[in-house]
Amino acid sequence: MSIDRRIAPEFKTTDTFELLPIETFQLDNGIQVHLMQAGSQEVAKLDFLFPAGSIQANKPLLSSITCKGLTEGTQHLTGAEISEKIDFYGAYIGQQAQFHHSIVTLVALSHFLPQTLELLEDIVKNPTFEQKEIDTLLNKRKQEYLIESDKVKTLATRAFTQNLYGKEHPYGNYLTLDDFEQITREEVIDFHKQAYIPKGTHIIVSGQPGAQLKHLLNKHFGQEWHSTSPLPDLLPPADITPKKDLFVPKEGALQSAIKMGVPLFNKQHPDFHGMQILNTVLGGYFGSRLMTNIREEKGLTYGISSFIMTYKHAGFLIISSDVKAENRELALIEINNELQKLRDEPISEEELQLVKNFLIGDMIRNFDGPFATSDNYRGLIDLNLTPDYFNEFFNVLIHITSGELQQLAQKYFKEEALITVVAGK
Amino acid sequence: MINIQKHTLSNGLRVVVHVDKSTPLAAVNVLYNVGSKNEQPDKTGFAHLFEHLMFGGSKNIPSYDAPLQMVGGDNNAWTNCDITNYYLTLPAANLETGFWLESDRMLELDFSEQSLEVQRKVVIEEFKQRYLNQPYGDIPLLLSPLAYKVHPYQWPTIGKEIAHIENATLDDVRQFFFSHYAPNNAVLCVSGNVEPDKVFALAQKWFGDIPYRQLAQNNIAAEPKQTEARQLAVERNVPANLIQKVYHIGSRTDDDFYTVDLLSDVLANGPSARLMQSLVKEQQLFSEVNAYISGDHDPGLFTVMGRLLPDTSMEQAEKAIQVELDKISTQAIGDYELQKVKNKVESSLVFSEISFLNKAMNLASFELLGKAEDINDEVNKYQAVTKEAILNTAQSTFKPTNCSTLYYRSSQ
Repeated sequence: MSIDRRIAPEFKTTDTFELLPIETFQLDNGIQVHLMQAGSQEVAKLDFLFPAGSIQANKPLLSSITCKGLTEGTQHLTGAEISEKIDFYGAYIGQQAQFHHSIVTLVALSHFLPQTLELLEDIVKNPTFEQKEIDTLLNKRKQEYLIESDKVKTLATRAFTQNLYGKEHPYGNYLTLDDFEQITREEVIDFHKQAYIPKGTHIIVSGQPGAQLKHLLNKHFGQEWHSTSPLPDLLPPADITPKKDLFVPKEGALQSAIKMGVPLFNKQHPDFHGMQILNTVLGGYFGSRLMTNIREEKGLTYGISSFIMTYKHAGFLIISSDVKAENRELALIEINNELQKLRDEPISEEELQLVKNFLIGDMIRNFDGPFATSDNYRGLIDLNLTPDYFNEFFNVLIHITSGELQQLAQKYFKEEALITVVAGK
Repeated sequence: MINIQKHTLSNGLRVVVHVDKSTPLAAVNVLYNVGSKNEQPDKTGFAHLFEHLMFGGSKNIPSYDAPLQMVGGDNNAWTNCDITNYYLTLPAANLETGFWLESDRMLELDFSEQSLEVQRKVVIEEFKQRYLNQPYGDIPLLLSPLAYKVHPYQWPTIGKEIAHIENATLDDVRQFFFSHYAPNNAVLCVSGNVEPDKVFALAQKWFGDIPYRQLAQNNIAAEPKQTEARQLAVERNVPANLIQKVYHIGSRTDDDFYTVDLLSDVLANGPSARLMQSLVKEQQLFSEVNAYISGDHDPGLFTVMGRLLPDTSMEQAEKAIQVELDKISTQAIGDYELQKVKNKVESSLVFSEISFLNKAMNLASFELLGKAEDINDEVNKYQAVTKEAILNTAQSTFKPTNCSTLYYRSSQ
């Protein structure tokens, strides 16, 4: 039997979205635990979110050096001994400082949770922050900063966020070389004491942690070890008028990095879900308008994309691409054309259906299993949103019309709101 | 234990199925046994350019991406020196769309001048973005030809130079397709929420009538044994000095692969590994160090690299690395240290089995190199490695005459 290869097979779309159940409970001291128990491997991932981000630190580098320094030695173990234990259990401990939290992540085979959580308790509660270890971290961080500063895309991103949020607020990304000389051990110790505290801390658990989870968490993290409240939350300045066009020169650059965007809002804004869908049409997937025009039709770049970045108190949409200098103007014109098209013409029913179907598939991928679910769920903690937020997005996705998307484009892709940053030549 | 079912079609296509009911999705992974080692020395970068062209429309389907996105799917591909791997994920109910798309581009591409024209430009921008306009991005372009003088691993997958990509013609594309893209030169692996019988029926339906093809003769010359220490020094506008040393080792299928892999783990897998503790933490000479093996199908490389702190001289840096390599080549590691790296391997194997897509890629790769079922023996093979074997391997690997060293100096 021969088949007609020109005809696509039948396919199904789904109009239901199923989220893994998320159980929440409190430890004896009030720490909120969020549990996504599922999966076929005996593996668990625990994210500890402490109110120890760069907003609370309010000084460049302080939150990241404190967070990284946790594993470099405690009152009971040297940094080398901590590393030995983590590796011997085949576990992984990761640390990252964000704006509103610092996150300490433990990934371990579930049968090693008793040992690894005991170790984690020591790391979180009793770090010594020896000067030598702080120096090592600062040296490493400084070199990474210098290497990043050599990349046109980093230069453009920094200029973009500084333009929006200024040089006084962490959202502005205002780290300078001088800041590396300004961090003292006393400040690190003090910040640790004030920020790695039970109040304001969340633990997100995913995988198969076993029946002992609650007991283990209470044993190691359920007592009151500091009764203070989290450090204050600083709002970004409201009085900044961003510049429309910025150019950051870099000698010898083979390509220019383009960052173009508009200020938006945080996840709670009523237009947020719709803007996510509009962003997908614009530059949020391989078949997007920008990718089709600027890469697949004109070959101006290896990649172009747009995404919406949200923080607790702010958000923006940003379009990113690296192009050779002589193509820069053409790329900027074409990006503007695509924004104008979204303002002027409704999206065709066929394209809208394709984007909806793609995003439905993407939702399933993004929430496939406990680990993927917890990664997405983590983004809701800052704003105290419930998991129902994802169902709301799905509902908007199913029902949104091209007319509504065009209205959003007219409202937020105004020419006068657009900010263009170019770094390179 | 990963469940595996297999079937080979009469045209030589090997089909591997792994059932994972914990996901509502399915993955379709098609691995072609062709990489940059199959290129001509004057037409390098072609296998990777070709990967881009595989998305430019096939004989009966003008667009690859749109129909897949329409059914909720997503896809990508990568090329290395040995293989080219295409993968997609979609809701399991729409599995057949994946078969339709993948089989048509195995049947025949729509050899289009326009697509070639555009993708040449795209790949040239990729070349610049990833290799020329990044600090340290050109290291593969410098080290590969230093370590290999005969074997095609002497050029990186992106290609030797941009001109080779500029000069690619549609005839080259056509010829490359028919001599390397064939059911008898590929492995199809499907994983996720699927029924093996249905997968085999779909494979027969969509791939069954693709003709068996005569493949290009691959007379790839073996790299002769290196007999002299090789050095290359360059100066670049980067913030810090860097040193990278590469040593010849065996291939992915050699018996000592697991020993070499654990040797690299002792040196650099995890924060407690020797190079991290000694060179970064204790002596504070480097901001970053690493050691890893290439795992290539033909004899590959053991890489040791470090980025120097401002107060460290290149001589000091090289000496400090040498001290660690001498140590591991003269004294057997302890039982505890051996157990530690084995534990780490065991847990990373468990972690790697979480993702159904990851499993599809790995199974295809094992099937190509031997048989998919070998994936379930990996733990045992690592467990069987002894400290004596690690000592012997270190001794035979870390010889000055087996080494190519790149001194990458900062001009800032």
